[in-house]
Amino acid sequence: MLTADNLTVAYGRKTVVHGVSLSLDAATGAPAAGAQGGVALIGESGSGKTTIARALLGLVKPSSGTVRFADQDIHRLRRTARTDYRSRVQPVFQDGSEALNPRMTVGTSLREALRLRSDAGPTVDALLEAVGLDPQLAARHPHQLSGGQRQRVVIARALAVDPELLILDEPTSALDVTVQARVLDLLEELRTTAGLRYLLITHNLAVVPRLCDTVHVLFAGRVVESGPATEVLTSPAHPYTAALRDAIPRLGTPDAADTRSSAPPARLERSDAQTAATGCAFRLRCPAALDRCTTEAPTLRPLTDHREVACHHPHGPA
Amino acid sequence: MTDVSPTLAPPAPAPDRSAPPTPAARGGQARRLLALARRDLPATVGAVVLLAIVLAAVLAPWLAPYPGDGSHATHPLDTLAGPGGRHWFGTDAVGRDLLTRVMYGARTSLTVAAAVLTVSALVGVPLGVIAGYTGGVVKDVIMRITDVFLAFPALLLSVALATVLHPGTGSAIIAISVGWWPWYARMACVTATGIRSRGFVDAARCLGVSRIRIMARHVLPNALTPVLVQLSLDAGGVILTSAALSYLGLGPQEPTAEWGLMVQQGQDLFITDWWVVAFPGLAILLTAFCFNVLGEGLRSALDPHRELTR
Repeated sequence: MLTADNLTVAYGRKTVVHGVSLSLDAATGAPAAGAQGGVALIGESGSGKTTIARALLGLVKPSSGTVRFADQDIHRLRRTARTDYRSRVQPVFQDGSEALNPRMTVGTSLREALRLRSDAGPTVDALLEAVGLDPQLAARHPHQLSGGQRQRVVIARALAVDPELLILDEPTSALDVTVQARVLDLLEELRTTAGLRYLLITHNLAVVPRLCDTVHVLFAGRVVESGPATEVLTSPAHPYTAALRDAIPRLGTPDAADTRSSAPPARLERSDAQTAATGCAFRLRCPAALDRCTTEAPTLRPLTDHREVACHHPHGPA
Repeated sequence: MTDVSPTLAPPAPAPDRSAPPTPAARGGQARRLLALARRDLPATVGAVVLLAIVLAAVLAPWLAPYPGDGSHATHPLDTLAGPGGRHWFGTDAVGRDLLTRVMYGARTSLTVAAAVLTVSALVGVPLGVIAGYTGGVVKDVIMRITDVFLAFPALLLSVALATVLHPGTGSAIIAISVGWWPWYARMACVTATGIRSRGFVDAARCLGVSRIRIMARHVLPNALTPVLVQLSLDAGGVILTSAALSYLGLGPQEPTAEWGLMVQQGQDLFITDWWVVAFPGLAILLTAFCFNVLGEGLRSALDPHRELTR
C-alpha cells in the first residue's frame, strides 16, 4: 500500500504540488471482476502529475506531507526496507530512449536490474519474452530499437525485480497510436500474469478506462476531482474535468454532442496569467465562475459516496 | 503472454544491418570511420600527420640517421652544418644531427603530453563526476578547490612549481598536471550534472542501484565524449606549455632532446644559422596544430546534436 498524505512539493520557491493525498493498493489479490485495479492521475502538462510520480518514487523530497509505503515514510526507510520498497514499486517513464542508458545493451540493462533481486529470478530471455520481444534483441543498443520496443524493454526492466505496483508516467505518449494500443494490451495482460497494479499518469483520457477504475484530476498541483473513472469521465462535476474530456478529439460520433456539457468549453491553453493566485485557481478559465470563486478557494469535499470535487458550482452527477 | 508476442516482436526486424551484432557491427564501424574521414578532410590529415609523428617518435632509435645524437654524442668537427644531404635539418652548435634531435624531441613531447593528460583526466574526471552527480555540499567543496587551482594562471602555476621541483621531465609533468586537471574536473562536473537528471539515472535509482555503480556505469560512460574531444584539443596545449617550460630551462635538461629547449639554445643563432631554431619550432607548431584540428574534427563528429548514420 503506497499512500501520499497531504503531499506538497516545491522546486525552489515555486510550489508545484499542493497538499495532494492519494492511496494506491499494491497487489492484494486479483481485482474484483470487471475492476481494473488501477488509479489514474490526469491533468494537463504542468499540473504536477510527474512531480507526484517522482515523489512517490522517492526521486524528489516533499517539502511537506509524507509518502508512505507499508505505513513507513519512504524517505526514512532503513536499508532492507528500502530495498523492499524498491523491488515493489517501479516506474515506467514516458520516453524509452531517455529511460535506457544509451551505452548499455538491452541485455546489460536488464541484467543490472536482475542483479538486484535476492533470488535468482528469470533470465534476460524470459524477461524479453514476457514483454513480447525477441530475445535476440538483448544484444542491441537502445538506438537500434523502435520506440515501441524500447518501451517494452523499459517495462521488462521494471518487471525484473518482480514489482507489485508500476507507476506509469505517460507510458505511451511518445508512441504511434497503433504501437500505443499494443503496449496497452501488454500492460493489460501483465496485470493478471504478473499481478501488477498501476498508477497511470496521463493527459490522454482515452487510455484511462482500460487500466484504471479510480481517477484523480489534477489542476495546478491540486486534486480538483476524484472518483470512479467511468463516472468522472462520463459526467464530470468539475468544469476542468469537463474541459479535459471535451478536448478528446473524436471522429463523427453523432451522439458525442449529447454527452458533452452544455456549458461553453473552457479554454485549455495554459499560461501563468490563467492560473489565479487567489480564490479558485481555475476561475480565470472557468466558464461559470462566480463571485465566490475569486475570494474563496474551494476545498475537496464529497459529492456522492465515491466522488469528491473541489468546486463551488459542480455539475450535478448525471 | 504468448498472444502478445507477435505484436511488436519482429521475427524479421526492420531491414537495418544491425541484426547480428558483432561481426556486422564491426564492419559497419570501419565503414563509418571511412565515411567520417571523407567528410572531414582537415581532421583526417591531422590524424595522419600525428600518426606519422608518433611513429617517428616510437621508431626514432631505428629510423633516426644518427641515433647517438639523441643523447650524449657530439661532433665538434661538424657544428652548425646547414640543411643538406648529410643532415636534412642541419646540425646544432655541438654538431648533433637536428633531424635526429627533432625525432627524439617528439618522444619527450609526446610522453609529457600523454602523461599530463592521463594524470589530469584520471584525477579530474572522477572528481567532476562525483561532484556533479552528488551535488550539494560535496559539489561545492570539490568545485571550490578546483576554482582555487583555476584562479592561478596555469602557466604561472606550472613555472612556480617547476622552479621548486628539481628540473626534469618528471617535474615538468607534475608541474603542468597541477594546472591542468581542474579543467577536466569542471567539464566532467557540468556533464555529470546534466546526466544526473536523465531518465536512465532515475530508473537506476528507482531500482536501487548503488550510488557508486550509478556513477561508474551510467554517468561516467555518458560523460566521456566531451572528455575525449578535450583530450585531443588539449594535447597541443600541453606540448606548447611543456615547450615553454623547457624554454625557460625548467623542463627536461641537456642532453635530453626537447623542442622547447632546442629553440631556447638556438635562438642566439637564429640570424646566422636559422635551422637550429626553425625545425624544432616547426615541430612544435605542426604537432600542436594537428592535435587541434583532430580535436575539432572529433568534436563535430561526436556532437550529440548531429545524427550519426548507423
